[in-house]
Amino acid sequence: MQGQHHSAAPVIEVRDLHKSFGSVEVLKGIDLSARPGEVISLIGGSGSGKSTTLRCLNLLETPTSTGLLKLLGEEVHLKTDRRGVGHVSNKKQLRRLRSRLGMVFQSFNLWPHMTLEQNVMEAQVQVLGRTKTQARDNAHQLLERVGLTERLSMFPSQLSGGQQQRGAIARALAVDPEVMLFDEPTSALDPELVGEVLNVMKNLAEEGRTMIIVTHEMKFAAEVADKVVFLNQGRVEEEGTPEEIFQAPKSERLQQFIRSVG
Amino acid sequence: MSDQSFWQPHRLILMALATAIVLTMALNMDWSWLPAYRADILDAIWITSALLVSSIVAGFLLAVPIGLVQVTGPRPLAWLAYGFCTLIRGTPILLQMWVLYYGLGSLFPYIPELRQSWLWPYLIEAWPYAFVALTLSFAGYEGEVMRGAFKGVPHGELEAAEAIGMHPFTILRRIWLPRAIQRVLPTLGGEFILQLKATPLVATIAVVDIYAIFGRIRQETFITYEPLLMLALIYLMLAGCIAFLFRLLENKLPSRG
Repeated sequence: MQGQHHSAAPVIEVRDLHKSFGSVEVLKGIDLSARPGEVISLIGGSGSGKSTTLRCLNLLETPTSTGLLKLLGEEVHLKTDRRGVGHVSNKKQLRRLRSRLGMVFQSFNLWPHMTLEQNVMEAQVQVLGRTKTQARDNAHQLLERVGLTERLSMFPSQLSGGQQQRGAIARALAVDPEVMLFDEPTSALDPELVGEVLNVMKNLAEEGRTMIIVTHEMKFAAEVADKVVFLNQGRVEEEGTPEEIFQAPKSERLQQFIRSVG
Repeated sequence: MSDQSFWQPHRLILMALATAIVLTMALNMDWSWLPAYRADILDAIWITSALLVSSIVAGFLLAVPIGLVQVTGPRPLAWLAYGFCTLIRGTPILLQMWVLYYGLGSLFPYIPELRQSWLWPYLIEAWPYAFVALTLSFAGYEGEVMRGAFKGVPHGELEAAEAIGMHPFTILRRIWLPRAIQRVLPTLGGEFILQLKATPLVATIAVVDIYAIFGRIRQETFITYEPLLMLALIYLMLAGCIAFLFRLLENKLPSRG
């Protein structure tokens, strides 16, 4: 996948991203860009800011300040209210952009009062305005792709963690997102269930989908990613191809990190 | 449940006992007054049910925003809602009903504009005050319940909806509210029954509900126990209906995730 789209404009471009929680600055000026079709892995120790970075990309966390935040070619502007809390200026733009960015969470977050099928149909109907028939057809296709055809009328509580996460991936795919964001998608899973989720993600990567993945699965990152970004204490410490990062780490921090997880 | 487990010895004995008690009561006690008051009792059951259902529906419609603003703000509204819940839950409903009926109700005749308005025929009746008092009381209690329910829905489920681009009102309608109601359903059944048992208070402001009717029967016939037993049976059956409906509803919904 790498290389073929590299001339195209980035679908996500962030410069000098800062984020503080109270007086603690967790992101101290992150630069990140993703080109169409690129698969990027964000790695780093706990507290390095990788999840926060990802959550800033679809504005689930509002950055404290940015040099530039450009999603799908559109610049997103922020404003600060009277109490000093940051907001996106244009809520309508935000919703439109979010519907083109799929997000998969560590804790799946399927809606427990809906069946799997309904979970995958919901945003198609409520956000994209598709008819129920269209949404259902699409949901069946997606659930087949993630191997859950037999489970579509089950509720999340009746499914294993791996099945729930695959369902959550189908739900995120249902709005035909241009970028998929994964926030530690396998961290809450039992070890024997990790593989089935990673397989689905690998297939997506092979289809040429743009993906940004926060993960602890170094083997997976090395295998699937075009670019690996190592975060440390709120900064990008090092980035490069999987070979550069895993075989020839330059910074001492990264060398330490790779030793500790390898 | 299979038939086998239903016809167990202890069940059979209990059923025989219950039949014996009912038969003894039917044969040895004085039920001669019943036919004469049948129509009145049926009317009164209707009044009690209507007050119960209407105050639950209206009260719950109020409780949803009262609970919601306490979680989402804006702050002045949250304080107002909190104050309302505290006031309602901290005072007897009997007092609230009397303040409305004897207090507010006695002020209305001094407002000439009101006397000419379409509202006036209702304002001189007792039941609107009963309805408003029961509604406000239910809204106060359920507002507090809904506050907890809204707060208890895992944040991730709402985030997932946000992340996919849903409008805040869509999130409320499709995810947040249904999840909150699902979580309080077991509590709600009990609250409905408590509300049923608050309805006899309307008899104190001259609304003729079943409690009032049986008071009249006792006064007119000088019979004490039979009407009270009958009244208890009617309340038991109404409460049983509520419990039964909730059991049906809970079985239809998936277990909580």
